[in-house]
Amino acid sequence: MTTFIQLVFSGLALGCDYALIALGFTIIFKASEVINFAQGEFLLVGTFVVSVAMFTWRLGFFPALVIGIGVTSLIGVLFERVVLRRMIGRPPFNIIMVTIGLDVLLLTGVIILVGGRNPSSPVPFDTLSGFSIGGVEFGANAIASIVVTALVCLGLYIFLRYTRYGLAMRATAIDQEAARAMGIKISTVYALAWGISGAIATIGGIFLAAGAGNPSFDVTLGQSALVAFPAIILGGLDSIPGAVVGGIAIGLIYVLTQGYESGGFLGANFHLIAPYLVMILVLMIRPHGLFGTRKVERV
Amino acid sequence: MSTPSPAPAVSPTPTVSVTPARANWWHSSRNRTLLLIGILVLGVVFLFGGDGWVSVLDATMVWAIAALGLNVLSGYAGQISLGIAFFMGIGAYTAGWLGGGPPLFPGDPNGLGLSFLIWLPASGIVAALIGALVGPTALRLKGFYLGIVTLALVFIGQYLFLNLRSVTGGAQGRSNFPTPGFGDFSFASPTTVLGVDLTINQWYFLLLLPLLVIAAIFVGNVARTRVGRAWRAVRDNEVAASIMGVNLFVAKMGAFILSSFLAGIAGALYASLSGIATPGTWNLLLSVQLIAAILIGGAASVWGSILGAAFVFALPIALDSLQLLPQSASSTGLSSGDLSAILYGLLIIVFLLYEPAGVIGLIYRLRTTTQRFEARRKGGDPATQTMTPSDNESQLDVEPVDRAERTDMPQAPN
Amino acid sequence: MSTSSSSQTPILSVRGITVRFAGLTALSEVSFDVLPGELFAIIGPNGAGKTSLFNVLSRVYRPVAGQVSFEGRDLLRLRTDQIARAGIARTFQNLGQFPHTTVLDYLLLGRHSRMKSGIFRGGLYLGAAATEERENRAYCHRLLALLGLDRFQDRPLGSLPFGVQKRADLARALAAQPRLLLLDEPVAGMGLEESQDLAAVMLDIREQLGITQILVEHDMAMVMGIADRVLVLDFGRAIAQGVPAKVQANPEVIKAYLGEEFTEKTPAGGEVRADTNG
Repeated sequence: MTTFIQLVFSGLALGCDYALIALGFTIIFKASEVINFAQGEFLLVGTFVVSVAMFTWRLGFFPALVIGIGVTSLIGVLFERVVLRRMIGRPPFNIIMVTIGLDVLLLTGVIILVGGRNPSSPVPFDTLSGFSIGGVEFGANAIASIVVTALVCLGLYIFLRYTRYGLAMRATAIDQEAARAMGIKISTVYALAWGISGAIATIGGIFLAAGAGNPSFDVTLGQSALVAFPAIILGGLDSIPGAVVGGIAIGLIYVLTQGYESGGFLGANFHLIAPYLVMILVLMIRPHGLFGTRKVERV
Repeated sequence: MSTPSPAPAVSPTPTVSVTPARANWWHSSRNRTLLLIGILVLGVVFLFGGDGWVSVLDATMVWAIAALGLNVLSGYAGQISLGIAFFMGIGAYTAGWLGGGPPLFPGDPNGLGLSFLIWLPASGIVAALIGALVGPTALRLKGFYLGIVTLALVFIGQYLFLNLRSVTGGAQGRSNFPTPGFGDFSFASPTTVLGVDLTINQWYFLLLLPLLVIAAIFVGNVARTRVGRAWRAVRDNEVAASIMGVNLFVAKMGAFILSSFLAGIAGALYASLSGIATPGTWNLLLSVQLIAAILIGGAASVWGSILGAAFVFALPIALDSLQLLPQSASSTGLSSGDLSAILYGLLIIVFLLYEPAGVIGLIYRLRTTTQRFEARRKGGDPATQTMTPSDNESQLDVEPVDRAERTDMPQAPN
Repeated sequence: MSTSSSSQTPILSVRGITVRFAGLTALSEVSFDVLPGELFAIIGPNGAGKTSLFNVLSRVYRPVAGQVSFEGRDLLRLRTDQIARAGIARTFQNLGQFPHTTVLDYLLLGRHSRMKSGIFRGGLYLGAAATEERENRAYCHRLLALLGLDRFQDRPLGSLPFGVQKRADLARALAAQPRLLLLDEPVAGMGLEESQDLAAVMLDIREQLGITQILVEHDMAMVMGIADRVLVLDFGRAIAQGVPAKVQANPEVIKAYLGEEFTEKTPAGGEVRADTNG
């Protein structure tokens, strides 16, 4: 029972990281119907910049976080403005491929800068700290990722529901023509979506890097973020609550399979594919996910 | 049934001289010239380039076969796939299982030691069969969804390759992949035949070049005939294609199976050439590199596949040989592998933005411009002299289905 | 030549077709017969359901009720791609789906269901596959020449003037050697001269090839000039059918269709000259 509670807690924490990553995908998709395959590398870039700012430039965590978010958002906004805007109306194939091009660029860029050493996980606490109750470990990073994810969701909710730009984003997602008619600048909305997505990616990346007590991370961080794909398919591509629920569900599936697979007939590393198997199942039964709208099937 | 009845007599006397039909890839003088130039260049490298360069050519030819496979599915039929690495892995382990000899290292699984004439085709056929098994599920999905499902295939493959130790060797990999040969003769040992000394790499070259040429001509022929036309129609507009009589499922499955077959063959050859493969060999990066190859070389083009493979896979080695950069990625700074990755990442974006038909499209554009220029100089009618990319070099960049349907009025082009 | 005798067995028989989308009724119990060799026109204001009807006949839309039989076969049991093999070809109202396809290849695509070679035989390009490809190319060359399109054969569709594209699309449909040809607004967006040329081609197709044609069209003058019989749709219902002169005289048609047509702007330059005196 202790093991189970432990696994559920860890799964919840990891699921929150996935939820943040999934939110990044969904926000971009809602605004511009683009699936950003480079989202994983946004995580890597953001986390790497924060790490460099903290441990090389010796800045505090929060200034470093601001720099990381700034750099990642800037890359996103620039990519949207310089590249994606010229690709409007092209087939989805080309748009997906162009984000894969960006993925390769960002990943290689970080590989060159990292140069073989693994950067330290940039968190403002000891990655191994925490407390335990009745044998269940509550790691500081896990608690922080749950709390911060809740705060980010709350912030997004308030932003989308009550601010002028948030309303503009929602209007654009529903009907671009109508949004334009209401005097909303679509380009601002796109920039905003890519910026917010970059910021959330940075935050998610930091938690994912520190994981369950990792003092450092490597360049495969971006690839491990691809598990957010099953999350967004499960939740529904264009649904923000879906991204959160899907992320948490996938985190739980991942950690629970990891916890119980050892010695079983499933062999090693089954947890790496369990989320994808769930995803394939969802695609076969309910392609628009739990909360998505049906029309996105046509993408 | 296949013999068409006489032409309808809308006007009573047709006065046309029927131009000879040139559907065979080989019958195109352009292709023949390019092929001969290609073989000539390769021949020079083969004879005078040194063993190192021959080994680069060997590897490039294997990648080119894989790129052809990916181009069948993504370039011609327009179906996004990140899963090509999975099918290469299937081909490699089929070859290892059927053709592999006794273990070279402890932990190597035993192979059946069958002939090259069995394991090479079998590697393609097994990959094709698995493609046929996966296809019906995957191809129900479109665009982004298909992309993610094929991505999942790569991860599922890595899991299977890790756990099916009796075939793959598990995490430490397998090193007893078979080497091609006939009877006592092996392509993988330096031998003197008819008084000519050839290295292993040169022997492999003599095997791989004909294989690549056969694959290229095969794909080129398919692309120019009935099935290829159906693929491009499915890529451009599914509804219109099916109204014209194209069975979407059959067309997509055909592309998926041929693509898997070629990937399987390439995987087997790759494993045979490099002598070792771990589950991590068949990773997402491999798929992404092949996507980069066809996008840079030219989607829906045979020559584009070959050029793209050369660019993505031979470039880092070429950069290495110039010795301007540190050799390994483990030290800080720019390695040749990193530099070429930056280059192809950048080129994917630039080509998709400005020339979705890749290098091949660029070559056509240059030729069109020169021809226009010459035509103008001669005072001819430029419109009739304009060369346009022929069918199998057509671009991916077309109006998506729903957009085209939404437009109420067709727009007159130009 | 016009075949209005009702004793003949219809080539196409449509009975009680009803199509609904999300509660909206696009077609409501539409019935009509088309006789072999006939040039049958379907007219009606925008949104009357003309193209929906074509989409039923090409198995793109699934009707909620009704039957369609073509040469005695139940059409609704076929898949979209089997329609071509059954002998029905269709032109497209909207072009631009295949901008990079050359005219010759487009015609060969039209012959897809008349050809057989698959991947293996096509890839090897030996014997039967090569013969098939050669013969079909020759066939398409002749067809292009007959329609005056031969000089465009290697040009991509997207590089051609609109009228030439429309003609190439018709050639593509003819290349399938259909027994029933569905023409979806074949002259929309064309100038008067081009329209007249195409009308002549349609009459040639009827007279010399004997192919049955169903025409959906806005251009009233043209329809009334060449059609053997006309079906008028309004809000998804068939309100009249018969020979042009009779339909034009039908008061309901004048009210529903012609009345509206006068106030309505037609989409593409081609002016509508509805003659109510007939």
